[in-house]
Amino acid sequence: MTEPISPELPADSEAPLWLRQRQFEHLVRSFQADVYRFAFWLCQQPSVAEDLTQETFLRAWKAIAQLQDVQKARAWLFTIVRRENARRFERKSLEIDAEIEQDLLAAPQTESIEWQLTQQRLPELIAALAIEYREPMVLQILFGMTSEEIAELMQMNLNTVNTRLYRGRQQLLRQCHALEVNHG
Amino acid sequence: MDKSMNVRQFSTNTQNQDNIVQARNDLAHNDLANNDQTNNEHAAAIQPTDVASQSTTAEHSNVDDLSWQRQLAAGGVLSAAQWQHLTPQQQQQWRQQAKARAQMDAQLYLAMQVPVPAQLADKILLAQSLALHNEQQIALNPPAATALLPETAMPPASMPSIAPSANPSANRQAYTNDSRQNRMSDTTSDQILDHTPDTTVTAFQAPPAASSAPPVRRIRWFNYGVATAASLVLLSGLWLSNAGWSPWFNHEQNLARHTFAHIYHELDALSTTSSIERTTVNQMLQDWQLALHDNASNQRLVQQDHQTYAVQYARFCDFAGVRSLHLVFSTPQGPITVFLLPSTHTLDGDHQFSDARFHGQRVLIAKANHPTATDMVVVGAKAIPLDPIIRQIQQQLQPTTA
Repeated sequence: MTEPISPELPADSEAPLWLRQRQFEHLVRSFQADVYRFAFWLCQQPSVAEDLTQETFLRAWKAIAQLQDVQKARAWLFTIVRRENARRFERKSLEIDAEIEQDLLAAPQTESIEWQLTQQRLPELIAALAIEYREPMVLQILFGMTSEEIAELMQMNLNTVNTRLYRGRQQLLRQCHALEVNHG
Repeated sequence: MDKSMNVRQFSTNTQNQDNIVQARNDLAHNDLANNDQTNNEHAAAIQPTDVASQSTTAEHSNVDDLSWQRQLAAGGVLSAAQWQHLTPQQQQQWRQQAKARAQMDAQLYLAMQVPVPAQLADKILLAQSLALHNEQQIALNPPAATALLPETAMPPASMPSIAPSANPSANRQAYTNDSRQNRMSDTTSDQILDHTPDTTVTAFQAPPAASSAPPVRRIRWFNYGVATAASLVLLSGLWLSNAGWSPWFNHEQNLARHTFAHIYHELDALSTTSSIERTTVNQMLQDWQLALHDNASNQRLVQQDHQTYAVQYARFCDFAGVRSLHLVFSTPQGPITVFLLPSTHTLDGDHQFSDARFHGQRVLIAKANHPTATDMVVVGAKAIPLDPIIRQIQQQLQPTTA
């Protein structure tokens, strides 16, 4: 896997300091909630997520001159979050192509499950998902990113992303169903 | 198992409500093989097509089904060509699944909206200002800092020269090495160098002659110390001022969260119409040295218009890791949930809490001859005023003298 874009220090700051600070404040106020939530679903600990958010924005400040396209600001920040988080955990990159074929044996999917009883426990079910499924699902559902955008952010094959999204949903459904069975 | 069977079973299940239940059971027990026969019979009943054409459809849709699943999961969009390629039956399946997925995603979206800590943006901006301030101070004011400490003051002859150095690059390198010895991060030192004129670098260096390095280092450490201390004081002040961070608040959150999670988990308890015998409830209440009294038998209470609520649900439950008694009283206003907690639980303080549907209060019931009071959490629908009901329940739950 290639290394995500590296926010280095700007070689020279074109914009004056006051302008960069304005931009930075705008960036913080616009994206702090998104960055925190993304960090939370990566690390699952509020205090760590807050540290990650602060670290991310401090790094973003140092590299703010690199941010040319404001439309991509969130994805850029997410990249920094991922890298900061990866420093905490040396995540093992998974086998990519082996995953897809196994789906041929996947169990039938029934999404018509009743959510009333389980929705209160959804956060813990999401948290129980493996990170490789949880991350793309959060990016897609919470932040409305397309598979292509997720693949670009996660530096992954598009098929792999789609497979993980599919499998994440399947796992959640199974968990919900198991809850219902235990309860009923 | 034959893959085509799998697909056929799936296709049938999504068509028929009974079979959805069947498929859910299949998911739970992971025992698809046992049901193949039944489901194939269903398929034959619903679609009286000949075996040959059915198996062809199944083979054909084997790949399609999986690509749909992925495509649904990926974003739920099919191209026009792909759509036309599907049979009407498959199109119907797609619509059903897309609808179900949209419902699921809506719930997941809500579940993922974790609360963001209060004043997070302000904390980030403060941390950034401090970092910027520290960098500017270190980069721009080293000579002024030198004068602050008398022991580091030097006679004019030995003051570092502020004239441009003959060899700026060598000075920069020396400065970088010096910074690294002081454990300053590479990025910080590089940034400082990028914004620092060579004259400053030269001035920041100690004179080459007599025992120069130690005083400069001490000054820099002094600056770091002051800056760090200031940062810590500011951040800890902010931290303490924010009630959301205190352990008490977390406990309150835990109490509310556990209460609501429990109630939603056992919603059936609110709709049950059964009435539990008083003797049964009293047996369960023994652990709390409480007993259910009949207000109707107490003349004084009857005169005060006290009612007796029937108990429609009683069960020992796990509540935040402790054994509690989960009761539901049937009141004219609606069902009221009561949790009695043991004295060993760690959730402390007085609380009132609510969500979109319910509100609750934590009250204490004093016990005769017992130093500790029983914790009781009372929860009802938001429309029901809790205070009068709590008074009634307190009248009903009387301490036993045993």
